[in-house]
Amino acid sequence: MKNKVNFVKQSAIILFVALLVFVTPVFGASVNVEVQGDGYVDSYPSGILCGAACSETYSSSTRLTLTAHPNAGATFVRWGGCDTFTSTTCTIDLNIDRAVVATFSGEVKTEYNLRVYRSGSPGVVQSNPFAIYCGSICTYDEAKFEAGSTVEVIASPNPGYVFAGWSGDCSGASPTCTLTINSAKTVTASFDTAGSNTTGGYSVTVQKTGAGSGTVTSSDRKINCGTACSTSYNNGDSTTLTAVGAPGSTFTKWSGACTGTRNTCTLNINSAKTVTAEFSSTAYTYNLQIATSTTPKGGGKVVSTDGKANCQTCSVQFPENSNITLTAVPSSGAVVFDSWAGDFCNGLKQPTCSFTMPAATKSINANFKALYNLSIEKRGPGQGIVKTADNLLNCGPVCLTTQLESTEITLEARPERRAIFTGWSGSACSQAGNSTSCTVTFNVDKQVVATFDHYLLPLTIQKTGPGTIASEDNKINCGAACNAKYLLDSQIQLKQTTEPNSRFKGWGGKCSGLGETCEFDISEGANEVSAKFVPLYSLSVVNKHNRVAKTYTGINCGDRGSKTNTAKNCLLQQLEGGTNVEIFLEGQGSAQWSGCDSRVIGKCIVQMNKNKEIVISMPAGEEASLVKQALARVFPQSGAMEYVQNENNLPFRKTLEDLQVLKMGHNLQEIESWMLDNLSWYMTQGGVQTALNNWQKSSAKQVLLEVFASEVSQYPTLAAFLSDENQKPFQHALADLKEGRGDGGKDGLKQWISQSNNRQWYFDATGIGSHIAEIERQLLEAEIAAKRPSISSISPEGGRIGRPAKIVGKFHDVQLVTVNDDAVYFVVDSESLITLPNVHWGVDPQGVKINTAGNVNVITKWGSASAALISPSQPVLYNANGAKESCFPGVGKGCDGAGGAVQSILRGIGTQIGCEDPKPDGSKICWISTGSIIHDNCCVRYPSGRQCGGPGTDGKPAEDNNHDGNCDIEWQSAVWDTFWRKAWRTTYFPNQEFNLAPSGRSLNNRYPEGEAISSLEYCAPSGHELREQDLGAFCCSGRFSSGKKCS
Amino acid sequence: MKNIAGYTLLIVALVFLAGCIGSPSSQQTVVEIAENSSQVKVETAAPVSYTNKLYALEKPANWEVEENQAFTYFKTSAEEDSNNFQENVVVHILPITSGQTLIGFFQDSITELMTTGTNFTVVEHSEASFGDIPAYKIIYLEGEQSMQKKYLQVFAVKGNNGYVVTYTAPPETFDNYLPEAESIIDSYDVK
Repeated sequence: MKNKVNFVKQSAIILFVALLVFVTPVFGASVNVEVQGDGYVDSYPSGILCGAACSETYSSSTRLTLTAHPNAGATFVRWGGCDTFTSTTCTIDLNIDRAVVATFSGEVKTEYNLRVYRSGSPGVVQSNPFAIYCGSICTYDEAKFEAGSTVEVIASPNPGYVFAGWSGDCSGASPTCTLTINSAKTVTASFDTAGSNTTGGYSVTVQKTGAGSGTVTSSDRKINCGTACSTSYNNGDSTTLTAVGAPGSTFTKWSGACTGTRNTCTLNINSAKTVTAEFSSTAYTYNLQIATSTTPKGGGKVVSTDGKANCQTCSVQFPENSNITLTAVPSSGAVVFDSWAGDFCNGLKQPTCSFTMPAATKSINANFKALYNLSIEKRGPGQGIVKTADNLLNCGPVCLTTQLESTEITLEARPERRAIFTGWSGSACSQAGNSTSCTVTFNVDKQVVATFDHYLLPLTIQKTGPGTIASEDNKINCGAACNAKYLLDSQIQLKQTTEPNSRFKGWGGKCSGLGETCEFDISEGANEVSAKFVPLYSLSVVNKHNRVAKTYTGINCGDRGSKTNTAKNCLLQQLEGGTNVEIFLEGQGSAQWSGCDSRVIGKCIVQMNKNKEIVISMPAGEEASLVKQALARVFPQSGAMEYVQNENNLPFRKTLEDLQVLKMGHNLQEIESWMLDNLSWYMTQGGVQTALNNWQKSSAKQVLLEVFASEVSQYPTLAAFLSDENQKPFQHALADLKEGRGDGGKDGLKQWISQSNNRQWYFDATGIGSHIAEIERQLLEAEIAAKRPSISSISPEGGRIGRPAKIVGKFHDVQLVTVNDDAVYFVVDSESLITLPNVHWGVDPQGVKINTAGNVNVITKWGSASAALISPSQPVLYNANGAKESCFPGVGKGCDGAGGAVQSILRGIGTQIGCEDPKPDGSKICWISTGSIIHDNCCVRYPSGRQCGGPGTDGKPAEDNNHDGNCDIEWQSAVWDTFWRKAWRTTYFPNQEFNLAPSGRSLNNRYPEGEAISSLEYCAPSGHELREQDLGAFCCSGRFSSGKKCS
Repeated sequence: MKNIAGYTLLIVALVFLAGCIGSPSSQQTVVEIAENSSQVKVETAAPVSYTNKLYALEKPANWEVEENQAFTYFKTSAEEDSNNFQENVVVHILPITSGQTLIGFFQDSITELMTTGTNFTVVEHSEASFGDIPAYKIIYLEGEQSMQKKYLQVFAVKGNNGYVVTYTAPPETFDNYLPEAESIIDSYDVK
């Protein structure tokens, strides 16, 4: 069921589309193509071939494709008026009339329009060349023709009508009018009715032509031609004519009132009519398929002589056995016919092909080939030719050759003798590089350029030395430009120019000789020219020698400073660079040379590579000797000669300098003369006079020292007296020297003073004797001062309390030693040490006042010296037992008080005793009291005293029952201080040393005089209460403030 | 003067000893100098003969000849050396005192150089010969610092003439032309 419905729907749609197709009216639309430039346009569907046929009418909705074809040498430029276009193709949809413009490059040929009107009765007007065809229903037709062309306009009346005549640009009644198209033209062809019958009838006449035969009959049988070939019809009648070929003949076509090739023709009678039926003798026709080839530059068409064929591609019917002549016509000058192919004329190169149509369908092809251009140009300054090997082409500066496509030619470039081919340019050549051959294949238009250059050969100038080589044409200017290129066979002229102070030494290579100029031709071989210049230098000799310097070439140069020198040729000029000159000195001897480049066997060799100066000098030693000799001759005096010959002194230095700057010659006479001329300078600025004076003074002093040498040896300071210029001995000696005593001079003076009476006179009268006496007195005083005694220290032997006193000082000739005015036994150990063996230092039992200054007196031959007995040179650290005190003056035994157990008990009841445990740094705090100080001081001197720890009477440490009786009171004092808790605390440090020497500054001893002064080291602090009223001296302040408390 | 002569004799004696027993050390000295000198490749040209009345020799073809009255120079091709000195071999022939021996001629010449030359330093010394004529060869330096030259000098005596052939060059280029110079000297033939 459903399928049925679909079928109905599809049928309806098909029907609707069919109705649209068939019902839609067909309207015509025209296209008008305008061609600008050198080309033409054709169309598909056909109809447009513009330039010739530029307008056509097509069915509406026709899609028309136009193709632009540029003629040879031209290119297509653009379209105008297209719907779409690609390159040379333009597409338009013809719904309305359209106009399209195709523009080509190249010359735009001038064209004019020819419009042909048709009027009146039926008739045809057409043009030759065919472009205009205006038939019976045409009002007018028109076309453009090239300016200057000739166009025939032909008027052909339909049968029964006549051509009435022309108007417009044609005139007359001749059916053909020839027009020259030199402007836009308009003509009108008028037709009229022929044989006009006023009764209303018109004749109809049938004619037969052609090689064949047949009959023409009318539908109304009024005509049966055969034989009845003419009849009359009324105006408005209609009849149909039928042409039937006789056997062996074939109706071909109508003409006259009927046209076409169909064998029937209907006539509407409205005028007299003439109809011609053409019969050919061949009864059958066959198709001839015509085709043409195309090229990038276009193709062509085939035209038959009978006009049936005029196309690029078409099918035309020709009667069997008909003779056909086809002509291949290229579309433009850029295309040529090549050959025929197909069933006829195959391979024929002629554009015309004739044949007889066989009884079969046939085909024929006309092949066209494009023509391509090759432009050949020669460039460059060189000359040459470009030709083909067969000489068919031999170009001038520019040439053009046109060849069929695919043609291949080979060009050859041949430079002339003085030219060189440098290569081809352009893309035409298949060869690369600078090959002289160029093979060109013609497949597009091409251009090739052959470049020729001059054949230049290098010219090289090799110039050495200072000069210039220049060519006449200034291309060579060597120095700077020593190379140039010249054409073969060029004539060259070179010119040499020397620079100042130089010389030309000659040409080489292609030139020779010493001429100013040189001429030669540039040849194929090496073109090299050498030119040598040499600089000229001068050689100057400065001779500072008394021998004459010479060369083999003219130098004769003597001592430049000498007034008598006559050899003055010391300069050589214009010596060529690179040469050598030898300089030598006449005679024997040596010399110093400066400036030589080398030395060979006493000769100085100079290489002349610049201006040179050679300085010849005397050897330094020889020159100095010469100066010294001259100085000695001028200043022979004693004292002067030594001075002037000294090389450090002015006379020598100045003379040598003057000699070296050539103020005189190198000979004794001239040097001596120079010095005499400048004697004043030598005596004053030169210091000769001063030297003489100094020599006299020196001589006088020296003589005195020599004569009184024995006294001087005994009394050395006498020498200063004798040399003192302010003392009489010198003054008298100088006077005697100047007087020339004796034989004069230094020796004479010595001889004079050495005489005994004169010597004695000098001794007595000039103060030498009294000066010696004064020296002796001063010597004695010095000895006394040197030997006067002195005491620097008195210390115990070994630094130990109680040992013999040692007196250190200065002691010569000791006579007596006293202690507190009592003579004591002494031993002189040396001039710096005296020992008092019986004086026990610090423990003297005689009650020596050890704190009293001067109580030890040393008496010598040279005086006396005194000092306190207790005046050690350094602290006394050892007690009488020889031990160091480690806890002096702590309470108790050492620092332990009464000992470990007792001390512990005493501490338990608050007794101030002993020391606390050591701190981390080793220090410890101990109790100290006046009694412990007093007891320790006692034990220092009496180690065997009570509780002093020294060797007791029983050999054990002295305690309470085995001591020697000393220090008992002191021990009690310490005990009571402890008992009454009168001690204070003092810090002791590890390795602390204690000066045990008694002195007035401390209470370190029991001597009454020594205990009155307090100690800053072992004293009771302020506010501390002491045990007894008489102990105030133990306060640090030295006294009590109130009661027994220290202030 | 007496001291100088004595010093000269001492030096000469030492030089002889060095030449007789110290040849390895002498060669070592030469090698060091060669290593320190400028290394310039010198093209050697084929030798050509040169002859005159007194002697004949062979020299490189590209060496120039300059003849003065008493000297004949064989000069290297004129190159622009930095020192501007054209290395050369110079032949000097001079009359000598009648009866003077080769050693006397040699000593006199060296003494003169030692007493008047600047920075005179003997580099090497040895016996040599000109063909069958005994000769002495010495290499020394002499001259102010900026102009110092190195010499290879060969002395010979024949008849009343002293023959001295000297190759002179700056120390830095001495070795460059030494082979050619030695070739000239080796080819030297007294007529």
